Amino acid sequence: MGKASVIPFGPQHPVLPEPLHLDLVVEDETVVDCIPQIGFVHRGLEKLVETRDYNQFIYVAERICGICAMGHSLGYAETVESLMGVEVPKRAEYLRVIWHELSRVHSHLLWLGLAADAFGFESMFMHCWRLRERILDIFEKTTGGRVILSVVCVGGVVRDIDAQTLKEIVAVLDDIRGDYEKIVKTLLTDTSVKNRTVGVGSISREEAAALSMVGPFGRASGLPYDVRSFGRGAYGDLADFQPVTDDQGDCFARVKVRCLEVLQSFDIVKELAARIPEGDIAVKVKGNPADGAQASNVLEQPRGECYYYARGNGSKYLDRMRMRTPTSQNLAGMTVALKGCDLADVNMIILTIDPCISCTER
Amino acid sequence: MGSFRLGGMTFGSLFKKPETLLYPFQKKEPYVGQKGHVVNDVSECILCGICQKTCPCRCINVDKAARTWSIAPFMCVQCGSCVRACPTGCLSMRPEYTPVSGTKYYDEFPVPEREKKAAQTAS
Amino acid sequence: MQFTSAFHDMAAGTIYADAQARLADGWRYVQILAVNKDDGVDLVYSYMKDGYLDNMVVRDVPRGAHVASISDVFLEAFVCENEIHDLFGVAIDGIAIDFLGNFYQLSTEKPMTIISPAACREGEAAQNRRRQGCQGGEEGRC
Repeated sequence: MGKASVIPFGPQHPVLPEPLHLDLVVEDETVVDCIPQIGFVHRGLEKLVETRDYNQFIYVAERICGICAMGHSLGYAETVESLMGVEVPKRAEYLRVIWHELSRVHSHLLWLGLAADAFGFESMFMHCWRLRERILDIFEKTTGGRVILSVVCVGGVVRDIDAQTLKEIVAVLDDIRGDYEKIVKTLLTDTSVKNRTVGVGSISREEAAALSMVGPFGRASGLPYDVRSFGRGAYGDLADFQPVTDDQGDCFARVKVRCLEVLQSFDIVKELAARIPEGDIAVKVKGNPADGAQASNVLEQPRGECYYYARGNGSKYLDRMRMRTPTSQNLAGMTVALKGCDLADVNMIILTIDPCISCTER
Repeated sequence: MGSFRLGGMTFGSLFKKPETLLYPFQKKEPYVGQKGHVVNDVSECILCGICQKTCPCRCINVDKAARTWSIAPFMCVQCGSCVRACPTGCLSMRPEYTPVSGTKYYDEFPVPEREKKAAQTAS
Repeated sequence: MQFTSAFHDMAAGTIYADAQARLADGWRYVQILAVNKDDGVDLVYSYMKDGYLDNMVVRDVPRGAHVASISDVFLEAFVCENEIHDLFGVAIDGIAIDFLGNFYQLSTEKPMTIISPAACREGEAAQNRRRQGCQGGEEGRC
C-alpha cells in the first residue's frame, strides 16, 4: 500500500482548452480519488437578464462559449419562442439546423485536434484544424463571423442562404470528406493511438445511466440518448436518424463516436440543403412574455444535452434565464472515470469528456 | 506495422497551394456581408435614437440637442441589430475591421439638418 | 419518441423522497435551478424519462432555509447544488462534494439575490414592485 499524495492538475495545463482544477490523490502513479474545482471563468452572465431585454440577451447567450456559440443562441431563441408561443417558419428551422450541424462539425474537429495533441500526435492536430478552417470559411461567407455567428434571432434567422451558396457548402463538405476519412482511418487503426486509449477510463453502461451522462461521453458507454432523435424542428424531416453509439465505454469508444458523428453531420447537412423549402426566414415578434410564464427546452449541443429555462414577468426583461450545460452533468462521470487510472492517462480522460468549462460556469 | 498512413496527404501538400496566406504581403479580401464596423450615412439620419435603445452593448450615443451621433467602435460587437432596427436605413455594416489602436476612442459625427422635402400632399 | 415538457408544483419536504422514487423508476436527473423572488427562492428540479421532461417547482423557499441534498441519489447534482448555495444562499445539507461556499470565488455573497439600482431603473412595472424591497447594491453593477 503506497503513500497517498495530492497532485494539483490545472487550472493552466497545455492539454486543457479551459481552466479546470483537479486535486488528484495518487498512490504510486495510480489515481485513487479526484476532486474537481471550477469557478475560474465565472462571469455571472445569467444576472445580465435584469438589464438586457429578451432580444438583446441573445447576444449575451452566444458569448457564453466560443465553441458552442451557435448552440446557445439557438437554444435561447427556441426557449423564448416557446415562452411566447411564437412559431418559426420552416425555412428558418432548416437554416438553423444547417448552421448548428456545421457548428457540431467544427467543434468535433477542434476536439479531435486537441485529443491528438494530448498524446503527442501534432501533425494530426494540424490536419484537423486545417479542415476546420474550411468550415469557418463557410461561416464567414454565410453569416459574417467565424466563431460568433449572431445569425439567430427570436422569431427566426436574420440572414438567408441562397441556392448557389448551399451548393457551394455541399461542395466544400464533399471536398473535405476525402481528407477527413483518411484522418479518421488513421486515428482508429493506428496502434500507438490504440495503446493510449483502449481500455482507459472505462465506464460501464449501468454506471453511465446512474450518473445520467449525456452527449458522446454517454453514448460511448452504450446509452442511446440523443435529443435530435425527438425529431423537433428540421430534425423531424430527416429520413432516418440514429444516434451513434458504442458499447466499450473507454476513451477509444469516445474518439470513435465523435469521429462518426462528424460524418453523420455531413450527411444531415447535405440532406437538408437538398430539401430546404422556400419561405420567410423570420416572423415579427411583438409583445412581452406573460407574467409568471415558464418554458423549458433541451437541445443537443456538440457536447451533449443542454437544458434551457426561461421565466417571464410581464416586461421585456426576462425574470430568469438559465442554461445547464452538458459538461456540468458530465463532471461527476469524469471523477468516476478518473478513479483507478494511471497518472499519465489523466490528460486523455479529461479531454475525452470534451470539457467546456466556460459554458459550465457562465 | 502500417506506417505513412497520412503520407499521401502530406506528400500531396508539397505540390498544392499552401493553406495560409503570406500576410501582410497577401491579404484576404473580406466577404460581402462580413461584419466589420458600423457606419452612419448622416444625411439620412433623423436622430430617432432607436439604434441607441436596441444596442446590447450601449456603444451608440445619440445626442438630439447637440445633433451628433457617436459610436465606440471597440465596444461594438458587430451584432447588426442597430442596422436592422434603423427606420431610415442610414446605418450599415461595412466589411472592414476597425484598425488596431493603442487607445480606446469613440467616433462622433455631426448630423446635418435634413432639408425639408417638398410636400407631396394631395393639396 | 416525442418531446414534451411540463411544470408541476412540489413541496419542499418531499424533494428527497421524490428523487429516490424517480431513481427507482428509471428517470434521468437533468438539472436543478433557482429563481430569485421578492420573498424567497423558487427551486426547480427537472427529470426526464422517455422524452417527457418533468420540472418540479418548489415555490417560495424562505432565505436561509435548509433543503436536503439529492447528490447521494444522483451524484451529478453536486454541481448545481453548490452553485445554488453560492449564488442564492439556499443552505443545502449533505452535498456529496461540498465546497462550503467556495465553489465560485465571488466578491459579493449571494449575488443573484441583489437587485442593483441600475436594474431597478431599467425594469418596468413588474420590477417597480420589487424596488421597495431592493437592497441597495453598488452603482453601475450591471
